[in-house]
Amino acid sequence: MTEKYPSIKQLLGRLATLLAVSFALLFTAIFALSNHAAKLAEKSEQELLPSIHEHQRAALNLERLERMGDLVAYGGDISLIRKNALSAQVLAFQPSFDFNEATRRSVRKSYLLIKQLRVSRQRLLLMQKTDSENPEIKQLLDLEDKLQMQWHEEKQGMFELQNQIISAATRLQTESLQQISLTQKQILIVGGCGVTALLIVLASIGWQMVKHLIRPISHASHAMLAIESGQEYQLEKTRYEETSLIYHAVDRLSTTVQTLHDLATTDEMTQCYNRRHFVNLASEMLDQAQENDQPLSIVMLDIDHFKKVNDQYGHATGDTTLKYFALWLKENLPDNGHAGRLGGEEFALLLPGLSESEATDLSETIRKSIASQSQDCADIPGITVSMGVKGRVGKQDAIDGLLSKADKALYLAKACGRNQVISYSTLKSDQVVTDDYRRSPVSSVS
Amino acid sequence: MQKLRVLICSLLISFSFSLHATDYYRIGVTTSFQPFNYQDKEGKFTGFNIDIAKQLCSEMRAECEFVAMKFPEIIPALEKGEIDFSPSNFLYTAERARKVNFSIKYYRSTTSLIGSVKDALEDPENLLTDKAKIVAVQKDSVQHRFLIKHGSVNIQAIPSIGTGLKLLRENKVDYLIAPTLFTLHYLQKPENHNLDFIGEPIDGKELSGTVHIAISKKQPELKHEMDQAITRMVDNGHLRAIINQYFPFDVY
Repeated sequence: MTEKYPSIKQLLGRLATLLAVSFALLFTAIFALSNHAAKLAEKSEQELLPSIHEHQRAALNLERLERMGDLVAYGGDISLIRKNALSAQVLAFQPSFDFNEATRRSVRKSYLLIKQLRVSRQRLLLMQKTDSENPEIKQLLDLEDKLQMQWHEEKQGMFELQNQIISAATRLQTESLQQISLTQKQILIVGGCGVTALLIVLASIGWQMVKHLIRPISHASHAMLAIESGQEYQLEKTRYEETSLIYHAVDRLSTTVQTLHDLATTDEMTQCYNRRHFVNLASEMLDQAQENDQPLSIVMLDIDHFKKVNDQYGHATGDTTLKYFALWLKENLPDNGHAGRLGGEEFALLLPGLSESEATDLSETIRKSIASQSQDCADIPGITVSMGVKGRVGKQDAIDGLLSKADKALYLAKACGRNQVISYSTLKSDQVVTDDYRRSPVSSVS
Repeated sequence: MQKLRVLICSLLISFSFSLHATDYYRIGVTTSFQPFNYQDKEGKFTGFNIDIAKQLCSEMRAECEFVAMKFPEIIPALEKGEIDFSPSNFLYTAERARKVNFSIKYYRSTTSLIGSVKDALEDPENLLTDKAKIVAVQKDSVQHRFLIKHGSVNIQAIPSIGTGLKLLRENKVDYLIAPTLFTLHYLQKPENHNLDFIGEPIDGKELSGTVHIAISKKQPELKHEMDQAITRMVDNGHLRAIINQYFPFDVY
């Protein structure tokens, strides 16, 4: 815990900032675009729409000019001609045609023709009334024909112009609509991208949470379950302060649980299993061996004349003797073998995988080893050990039975002079002592 | 969108209605020129500008009262706040804009010289340099200013266009310079066949263009309200309907 870890609070802060920034960006973009759309709509209302209407009015006025021109060109009444020519003049100079120079010039050109028609036709009509034989009439009639022909052509031009004006208005309208729909598309695209980006941000936030918070917590929970059932566990390094603290706590807990377990199962002085744990363990292993039909042996041991060691050298030496004894005992055990201190100077071995004769051989080795090692050890007096061996035979063997039979063999080993190993199966039936006999304490014969 | 706008508009209108009682406006109009603005025999105000004003009042849901006055009196009355607005064919000038507020346009016009039909093909700007000629012009109009600035003719300032036309017919003046649209109707009457436009409308920036309603500066909010009312009249076709009654084409 000396390492400096970043905290999840900071991670959360960063993620929240990221989220807020993404939201802000998205909303800003959408707001800006919709603002743009609103401005476009406003522009269309304030500029384009009036301009479109201006075009439409000009087209209608052009049509009226054409009608006025028709009445001037073909009307039979002099005051009708005059009236319409006056209207045409006023209309032709109205500022409403000024929106476009070409239109302005074209309209005025049309008006000049109307004016010519008015002048010549008024004169003709006046002359016809006063003097029908006037030689000028033919000339005026020719002129009228010519001007009417020109007017006919002019009207084609005016019709063309009218179409152009209406097309321009339609174009304006289309452009405005296209612009608006383009903006709407932009809003959709930006909105879509923004929402996608937001989802990505949310997903990455979720991933970070899983990676840095949920997964470490789940690992820690599994580790605690493993500790509870006494299994191994592995916690990898975590990046953040809070989860590191949890891991640290789990490690501490594991150590404590191990210590408590050791205290509960181990004899403190000899570091051998205590009686309760040894019997439980032996019972479990016997079950396993019976299930798999594998050999298993129990050896009971007792240090010969241990009382004398205590009496002669004091309890401190007695304790040291027990420690050395346990140490040598364990040195000679196979990897899967276990040693237990059942009480006082009485020990037991649990040897899975070994038949009674193999266990007897091993016991013999141990017996010799202890006798020789204790001779060489300056701290304690030389000691010998008596051992009784019993292996698993049938399926119905109970651990109590095995222990008791090994104990009987031990008793016999003591009875036969100590410092020897006796295998239960080598006993003759008359040598098998009764339970009543066994009940007398081993120490009474040691 | 349109529906929403209509809803909001109507809500705003009803809201402003509930806020203050119906507005009341005094409208200054000239009455000497048939058929554009005059009082009939019963004293009822009638004509193009009157119809425009009535429709505006209806669009603004205001009560209105007409006040008959001479053209030169209108701007001073607006300045004093004696009247609230006036639809009297005002072309925009910077000088007027200092004294009154202008609405958005309600129609467009030009200026023409009117005189005897025998001068019809002459150039009006040439005639306006002839010191021997007498030209009638409405007092304080833009045309009056124009003559003072550019012309070298004898100027006869008259209180109304109607008076000018009468003088012209009686040969008491040689020409009348006036808004084209308003003289068209008069010229078109068969009995006035000896009168005509002289040449084409006079080319002068200040003499043609957009025509506005003059609004008293003592009513600062009225301009906005008026502009909205005019826009509504354009959109709902009421303006076109009024124009069609008085003119042979769309003058907006």
